[in-house]
Amino acid sequence: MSASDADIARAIARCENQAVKAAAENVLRVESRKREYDQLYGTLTGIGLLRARMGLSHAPYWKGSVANDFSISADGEYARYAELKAKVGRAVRVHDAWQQVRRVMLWGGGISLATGAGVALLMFAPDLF
Amino acid sequence: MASSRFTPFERLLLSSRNEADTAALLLLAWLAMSDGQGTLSDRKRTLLDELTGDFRHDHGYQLIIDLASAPDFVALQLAAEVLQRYYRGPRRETFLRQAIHVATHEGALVAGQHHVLRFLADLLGVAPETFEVLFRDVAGYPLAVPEDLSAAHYWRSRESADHRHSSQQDRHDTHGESSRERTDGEEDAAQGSRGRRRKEQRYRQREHAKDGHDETRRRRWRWRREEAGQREQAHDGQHSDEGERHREGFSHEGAYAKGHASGNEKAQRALAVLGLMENAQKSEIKRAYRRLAQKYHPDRYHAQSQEAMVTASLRFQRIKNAYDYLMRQHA
Repeated sequence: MSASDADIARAIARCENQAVKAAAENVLRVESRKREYDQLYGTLTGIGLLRARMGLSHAPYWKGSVANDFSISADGEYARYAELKAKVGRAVRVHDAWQQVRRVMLWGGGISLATGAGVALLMFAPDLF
Repeated sequence: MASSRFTPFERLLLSSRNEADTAALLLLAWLAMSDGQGTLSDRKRTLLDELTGDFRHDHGYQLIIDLASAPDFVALQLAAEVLQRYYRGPRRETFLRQAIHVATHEGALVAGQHHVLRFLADLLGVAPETFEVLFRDVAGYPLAVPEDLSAAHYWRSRESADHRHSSQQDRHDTHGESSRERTDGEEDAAQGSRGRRRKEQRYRQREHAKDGHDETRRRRWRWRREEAGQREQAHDGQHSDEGERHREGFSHEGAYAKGHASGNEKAQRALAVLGLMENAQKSEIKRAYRRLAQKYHPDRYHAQSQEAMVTASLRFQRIKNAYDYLMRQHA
């Protein structure tokens, strides 16, 4: 999310490094520049996150000031593919369990129905036996 | 433990005929949409359709485009993991060629696309030397360092270059309008950026000239692959001027490379193709060539797909071109 103009002005006023302050004035105070910078900032933040989670923070194309600014430490997030496989595994187990329950219920229902029909016939049509 | 519900992208992957192709499509869409426009232009969408025509995806693009435009980094991480797992060997190079083609299709690479391309190269474990050769091969100009948008001088030089360009056009139109005065410092800062833009502009113009016919443009990627295959099968003795240009360029854009690269630059590129350092001896070149020729000979990929064969042929041809060039230099 992009900071408001007031937040940016406050941050620039607080900044003690003159070079950074001048660069921020030049880039963040002009709307068109800021828009483009914000988009790149979002992309780099995402790439930093992906690299940290995938162990690519020390890869050849991630170095210099960009890597310094956008590298984050791994946040203990799990691997997404392993998570997907675990979800599929759970879904398969639930499916199999449901199929077993369904089979038991079908057999149980069938037996109950047959028993009920037998009892009914015995009660209402004893001549048949 | 995260939610046990399947995310939309997970459902898409599970119902896809080939999850690696679906993941590749998402990453290519993300790259295409990292150009700062915020939307996927019709031209880029058409290009994606063409490049991924043989992907076994079988689903609509809308969800992919929604995920890429947000962008959804959870989905992108999953796609990257799938790609890393399934794209190995020649397939990674083909994917990177497709990615470079998507990023450079409309001319200049913007900073965001630079970083996404570099991420994809790292993701697939492709060394910078190899990636730079690939980039030059597909784009026709060398891979530059990404611009630093947080630096004031970048904006000054960019805007003064734009201003200069427009004032030059005005002067050209009105015959005699005076140009704006500039300081030496600004001139120096603008020079690199202008040079790069001019190079990219030239590349764009060349591409437009080359792609005069719409039909040709739509089929350019496949045409390039087919052309590479045909070049591979051509007789060694047939040395037309065009063939000579391709040979010396070690790339599809041989004509451009010949026109603009110095002999030293060509030699450096040839050495990079063979994985050698500068000042390599003749014996080292021969050894490197033998090793790479054995490793990447197209016959080794005979049992694999047509695509793998074509990629292997391309790579082998490039290695041979580099070797021939260096041997001529050492003769």
